[in-house]
Amino acid sequence: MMESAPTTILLTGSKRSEVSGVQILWILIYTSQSLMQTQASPLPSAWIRFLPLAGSLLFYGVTVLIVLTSELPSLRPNVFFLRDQLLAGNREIFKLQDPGIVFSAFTPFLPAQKEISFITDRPYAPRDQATEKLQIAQGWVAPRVLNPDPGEETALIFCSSGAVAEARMKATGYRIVKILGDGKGIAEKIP
Amino acid sequence: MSVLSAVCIPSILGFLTLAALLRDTPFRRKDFFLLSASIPTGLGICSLLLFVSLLLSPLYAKPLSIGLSLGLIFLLLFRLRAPGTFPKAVFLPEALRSINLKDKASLFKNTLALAGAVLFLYTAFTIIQFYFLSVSTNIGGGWDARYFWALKAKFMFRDPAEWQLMFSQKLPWSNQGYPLLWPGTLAWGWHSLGQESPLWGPFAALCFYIPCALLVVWYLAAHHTAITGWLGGSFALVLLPPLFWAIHQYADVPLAFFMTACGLTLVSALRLNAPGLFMISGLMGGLAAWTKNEGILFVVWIYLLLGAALWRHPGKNMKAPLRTLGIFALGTLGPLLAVGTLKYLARNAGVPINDLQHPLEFLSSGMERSGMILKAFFDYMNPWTGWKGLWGFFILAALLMGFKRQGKSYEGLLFLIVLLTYAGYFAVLLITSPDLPWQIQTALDRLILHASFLATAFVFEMLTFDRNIPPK
Repeated sequence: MMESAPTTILLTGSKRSEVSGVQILWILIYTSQSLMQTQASPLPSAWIRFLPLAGSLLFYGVTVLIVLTSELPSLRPNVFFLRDQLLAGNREIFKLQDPGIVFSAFTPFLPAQKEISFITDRPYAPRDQATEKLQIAQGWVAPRVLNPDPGEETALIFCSSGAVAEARMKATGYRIVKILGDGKGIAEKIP
Repeated sequence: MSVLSAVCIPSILGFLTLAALLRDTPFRRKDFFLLSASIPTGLGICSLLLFVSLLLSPLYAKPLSIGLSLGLIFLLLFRLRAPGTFPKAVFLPEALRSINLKDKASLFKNTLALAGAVLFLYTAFTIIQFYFLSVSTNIGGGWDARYFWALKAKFMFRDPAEWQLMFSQKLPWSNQGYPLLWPGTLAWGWHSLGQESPLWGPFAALCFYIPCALLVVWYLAAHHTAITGWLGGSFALVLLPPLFWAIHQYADVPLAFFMTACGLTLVSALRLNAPGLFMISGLMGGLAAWTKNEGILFVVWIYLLLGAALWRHPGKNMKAPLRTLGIFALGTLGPLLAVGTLKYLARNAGVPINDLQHPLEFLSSGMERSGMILKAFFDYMNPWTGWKGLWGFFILAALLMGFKRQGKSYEGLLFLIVLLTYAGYFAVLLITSPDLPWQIQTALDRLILHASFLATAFVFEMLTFDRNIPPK
């Protein structure tokens, strides 16, 4: 019987020095099983009452210690102002956090078509850092679909400079119809 | 209009749905279960109703979805109209009613429970404070939240008539076939508020995060003692990865909620042999599948485990295990039909076949990849700062379970759910995507959090030796 070995050590006292943590754990398990399954146990009833309670209290104590000593990451000092705005329901200040706001200049000039090409400094490549620009723009212009391939009639040009925009439009077959900044604008496909 | 107004219909709908399914189902802490699960369940149902409305009449999806939800509320009220059907606990929480100041033995227990409740409330208050401070600096959430989940919601809100453009092949890297519970929740809130409020996302995410901890409190208080429940809930709140991903408004926290709710109600249903609870468990599992693709895998595991549990313990009262399985399946039906329809609509945007490992490549690198994934699991589960030793406790609890006779307590089921969930993720990581390090770096922490609340419930169930409270 696996269960009886550690019990014997504890009860006889002859090998008290050999009682290890694992064996004590074993006793705890055994007694808790006995309690839950109402099996007859060779341990004195005082132990049966005490050990599960002690085991539970030990675990509760550890839990309370963990909860009370938990630390949260540090925050920037301006967050209290923003938190108050959030709880006050001030939406406008948070609209400024949308990175898509840089595309607000395009909004009045967006074409009726639902599918538009998106031309930026480099051709589209998945997991390229520049992809985020496309994702940000897509979020702003939805429900229109931004196609990274230069195949649509109209294109949204969003390059870092006018020279780069010129080169990219030449390579993809577009001409500018509305300039909205340096390297930014709306272009149409050259037939 | 306050963002809280967007929660009104979902919370009433969720409460009435659960109350209707729990009618005549006797179990302890019913009040706490309703408190923890009503809002997330309601939000899940509302996202389904919005999806149905978009399918039926895209142009009138907004009024139709609100009309359908109000109709459902009236239908449920009609069903619950008989006197005495609302649990008394709703009006006077059971925890309060059970306090008996004259009995010295129960006074000790009540004092402990009160101390636990104070600790939980203090922890929850601190965490909520931190949550609002954090989200206010980044109201749109993380990458996936902004560019995957919120994008889908924008298609559903800005021009419902053209909502199916979200499945366009031309949209690069937007996971067209992903389930829509979280985008549906966002779009539902925006429709209710009449505007695309940036404040709704953080409030909605909190509506899923806090109930995860409340579910742990409910389960442990119902099956063990109140103090176990409060401490388990407090511990769940100080786990940093769930908090981190809730702040970033990822769909993983809603998924964790539905997985936890499904697992815990399933164990309760098996213990109590309560048909209503099987139905709720099925509904929660279905909503998990409606939240993320990982939820679909989870439902498969749950079906297998439920089948195995019913086969192993058919029981005297469980004369027809197939009927029980049928009740569970009925709960999953609605959400799974929605998932099937969605997958059909996005059928051309599934997992590209070249993302799967070639069999020869798999054979040659399988061992190396397995080692890498196992090491990554260890590395991500190990940090004390994040998980507070949860996975160490989990192993200890599993060892204890090995010595303990299971009988019909079904504690082992929680362990198996957690284990199979991670085994499934391990297998998926093994056979997909050639860029394993990138996938591990971007996804593993979130994958681990899915079953973390179930693991917490299992740990507290195994490592506390209180006598199980018999079902009431």
